[in-house]
Amino acid sequence: MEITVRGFWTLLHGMGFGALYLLACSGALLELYRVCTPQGIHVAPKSNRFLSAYLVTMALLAWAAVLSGTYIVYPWYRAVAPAGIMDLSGYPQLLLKSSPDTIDWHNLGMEWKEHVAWLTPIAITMVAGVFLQYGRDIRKHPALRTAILTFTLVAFLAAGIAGFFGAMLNKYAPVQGGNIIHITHGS
Amino acid sequence: MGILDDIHAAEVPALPNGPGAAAILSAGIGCFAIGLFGFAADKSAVIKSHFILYKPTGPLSGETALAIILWLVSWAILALGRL
Repeated sequence: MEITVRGFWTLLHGMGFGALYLLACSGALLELYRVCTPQGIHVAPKSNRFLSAYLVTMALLAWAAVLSGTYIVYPWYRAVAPAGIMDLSGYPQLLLKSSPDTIDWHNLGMEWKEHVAWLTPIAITMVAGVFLQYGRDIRKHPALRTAILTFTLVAFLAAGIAGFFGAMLNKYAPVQGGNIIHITHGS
Repeated sequence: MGILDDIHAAEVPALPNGPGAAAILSAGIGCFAIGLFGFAADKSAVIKSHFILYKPTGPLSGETALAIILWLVSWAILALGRL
């Protein structure tokens, strides 16, 4: 069992940071709604601290996902092939653009993904910052409460779109190459 | 007296909504900037070339870096109440 260095970073970016963030989203939405509604007055202060730590962790995951995606994986995706090369498997962007059947995975998919993903860390960092500042007191500000719930939902949708396109792009043109990491040796 | 204090504490916010509004508005500015810079780079080759801060990542590096700076600076200015 082995994996290339580029494959490992792509896995860490998508399945490590990105998927973990997406998994955390439903919990954050539910808990924020529960704590921030007027009935949330009965919520124990302990769950306040838990939710603060949860949102900060989500923000860190979102930043790790976009930074690793933009500055580690994306340069490998858009690598320029030397003139005359026939095998484009090491050049995912060019491989997608080489066929009318796959070109829109780049033109639509990657163009969307690379931008929409950046809305997530901004939105969830803001939500974490506001919750750290206000805590359960946010339920006394209906407009703020609605805004942070909306931004949490937007961050979830943006990460979902980026995750979907990321998975599909990696299916049609996987980012591979570099040194090989041997995980296990078969008998 | 105790019950009245509890009711008062339950209804009166300890913090005004200013800092929260500053954070939300600046996040909106940051998100809008991402879209605006992406659109501008897509429409103009000159703008696109100016956004290339880190060549392997291309114009995305400048678009996002500038949007993040705009978000954080607007957050700081709005939170400090200087605008």
